[in-house]
Amino acid sequence: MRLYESLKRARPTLVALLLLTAVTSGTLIWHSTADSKEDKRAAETKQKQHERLRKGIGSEVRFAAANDTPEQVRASVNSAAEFIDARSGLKMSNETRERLTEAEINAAQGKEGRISVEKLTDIFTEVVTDRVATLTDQEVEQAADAYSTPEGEISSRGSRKWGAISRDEFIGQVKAAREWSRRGDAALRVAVRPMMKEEVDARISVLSESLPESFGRAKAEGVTPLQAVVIGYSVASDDPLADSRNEFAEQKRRNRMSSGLTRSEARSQKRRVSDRPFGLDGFSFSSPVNLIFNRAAVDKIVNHGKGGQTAK
Amino acid sequence: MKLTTKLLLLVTLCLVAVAGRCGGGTGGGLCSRICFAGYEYQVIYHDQCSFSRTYQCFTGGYSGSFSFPADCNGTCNVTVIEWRRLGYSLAAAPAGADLNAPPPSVTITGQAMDGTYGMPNVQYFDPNGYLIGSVTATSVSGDGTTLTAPVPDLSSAYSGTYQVQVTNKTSSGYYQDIVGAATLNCWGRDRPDSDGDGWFDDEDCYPYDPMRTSCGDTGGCNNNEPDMPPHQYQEICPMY
Repeated sequence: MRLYESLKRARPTLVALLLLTAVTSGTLIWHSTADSKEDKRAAETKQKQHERLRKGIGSEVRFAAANDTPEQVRASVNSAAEFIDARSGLKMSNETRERLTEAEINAAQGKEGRISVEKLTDIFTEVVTDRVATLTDQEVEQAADAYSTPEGEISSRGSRKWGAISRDEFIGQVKAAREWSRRGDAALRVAVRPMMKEEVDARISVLSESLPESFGRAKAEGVTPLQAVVIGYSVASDDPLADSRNEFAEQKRRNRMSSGLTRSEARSQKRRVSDRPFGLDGFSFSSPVNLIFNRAAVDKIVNHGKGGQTAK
Repeated sequence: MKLTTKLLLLVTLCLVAVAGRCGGGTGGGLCSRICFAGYEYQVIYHDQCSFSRTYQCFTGGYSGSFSFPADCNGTCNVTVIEWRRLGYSLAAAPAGADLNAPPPSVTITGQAMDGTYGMPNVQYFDPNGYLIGSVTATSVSGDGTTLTAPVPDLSSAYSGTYQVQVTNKTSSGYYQDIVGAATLNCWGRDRPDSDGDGWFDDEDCYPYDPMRTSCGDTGGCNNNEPDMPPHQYQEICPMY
């Protein structure tokens, strides 16, 4: 009888305990299934992304090896210049090609060190903060036009991961940042560096795994000046460096199909769309890459060991 | 507090914590979701006010997130579906059509076409990838190898090779699995270029003036770029 009374008293507690056990077990099973699904998914994505990168930068840019002749290094720089041009319309001058060739030879011979990932992040942060300081009002407007999404918002990343704001907000924010930068206020640098770090780290991670023969030493020993220029272009334009240029026409058509717009609907958006996937009016993602990734930016990369002076 | 109450409170807290890890976020009228590199997503709003949007997952890494505006009520009450491209080759019968007398329906053959959760969606795209029309299939064979669908209004379509894309409805209730596409060669109505300036009327801001094509939007990096319709110009950018 006493036992029965005890059980009766304990019943609500037992029910709650059983409920807790069931919920916890269910949650654990659900999580474990979801985790394994996610793991499989992540592995598939990784594999696909490696293949796409190998078809893109992996097959279209030949990075120089340690014992390459100057001619081979020059050919390597030219392949990177053509790669960037084909994807974004940015054209590398002969002068920049020569300076990059020299920097690559020096890096290969160990005369000037490779650029560490941290240093690269610092350089890109400086490129952005310095460029913001010198933007004219007209260039701010151009940047807003270039970053404008089909929905009329402004986003500086294809994924809109840093947010999407109105044109007026964007112009206001860039102008405020310009004032900070001109005053030498560290706030802009403090805000920009983590963003650059995230972008650089993601690229280094993917490139070193997809193309270990070229980028395998990047995390431990840094990148060569030419690799730094390609990563800088990638960060500035949000180009993941994937896919071959032979696929661009088909990609453009597929993008249109995905948007599900009729010709007249597309036309009413009044968007200029180039035949290149990135850069100004890129059909995949439009950015004012020419405003950011200019000669001064390349100078900072090439002259990283000399404090990033601009070439005369 | 009674033990049972404490336990129930604990259970509730557990569930809240678990649920909190699954969803996206919102802040300042912006919502976000995790995405995987190279995949495409469609955001479907439920407020009868916002339009559905499509996004590609852009990321310098393998996965990232994409953001989209909150709905008209400022909430992230949306459904995000990921398109799956199954990549099957399909064939259309008839394989061609006279635009002046189009067939009432086409039969698509291939595989993986599925009517389990509703008839598939069939979209017709012109040679440049613009949508011409979207219809619902009328029947799908049990083994998923044959589908019949009506032909949409082609009265404003021009001669060329069209893509007929089949998308299955999934258990989520949304059109999510893009099975593949068949080609349909259409003839009988050539795209007009009334002023003979090399630009078709539907891409020419001045279709009857051979001296002008651009809508006046010069833009670009410099002012000496050729005068081209906005969607076809090749950008000429400064050197670095």
